[in-house]
Amino acid sequence: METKKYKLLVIDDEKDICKFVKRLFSKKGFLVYTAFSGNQAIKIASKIKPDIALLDIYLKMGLDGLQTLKRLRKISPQCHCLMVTWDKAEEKRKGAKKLGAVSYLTKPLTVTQLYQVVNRFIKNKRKGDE
Amino acid sequence: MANPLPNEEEIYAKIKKENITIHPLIWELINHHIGNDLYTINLIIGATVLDNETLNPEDAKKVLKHTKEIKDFLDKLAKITNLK
Repeated sequence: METKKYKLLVIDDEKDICKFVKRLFSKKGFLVYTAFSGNQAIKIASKIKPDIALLDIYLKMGLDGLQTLKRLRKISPQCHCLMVTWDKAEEKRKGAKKLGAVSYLTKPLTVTQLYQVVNRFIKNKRKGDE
Repeated sequence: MANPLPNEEEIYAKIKKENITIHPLIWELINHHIGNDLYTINLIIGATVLDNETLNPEDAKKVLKHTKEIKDFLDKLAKITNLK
């Protein structure tokens, strides 16, 4: 997985998940930022304008995942937002898509799945840049 | 998955036939707790294995921490649902 320095924002209230996703994609050349709440994510996104966001739907404090998605899309409309959750409920999925999420991934994800969705983003981005 | 029980297929058949279900609230807890712990373990081990690296002791401790959290959660769930 070769990348120019894409900015990836990981939003999850589980600190270990943020830590290890950061490690995983830093090794692949991404600039990775982490946020443990929706409010923190919005602050960071305002500054960095992420290319891609991996966003947990269930956030314990402040904004929930869908509210965060909505604000994130306003701040950074080009951001490729991937929702992550254990919840398979169709209404959540539809809600996320309506707000601009491009994928809805179900936990527990494997590293291979994560690489696949991010690779898809890179391919699409390159096509768009050509 | 662990080796199947000798009567596992019968158990699945019984569950299906008798429509034995788990309450959605219990599924919510299982998915949330076990889902997050498994996801973290997958991230730690997956990144190490896929990149042909060696698991360092700190990361190994994290794996143990998350497996213990799964066990603690299942113990709590068993207690609260009166599983003998």
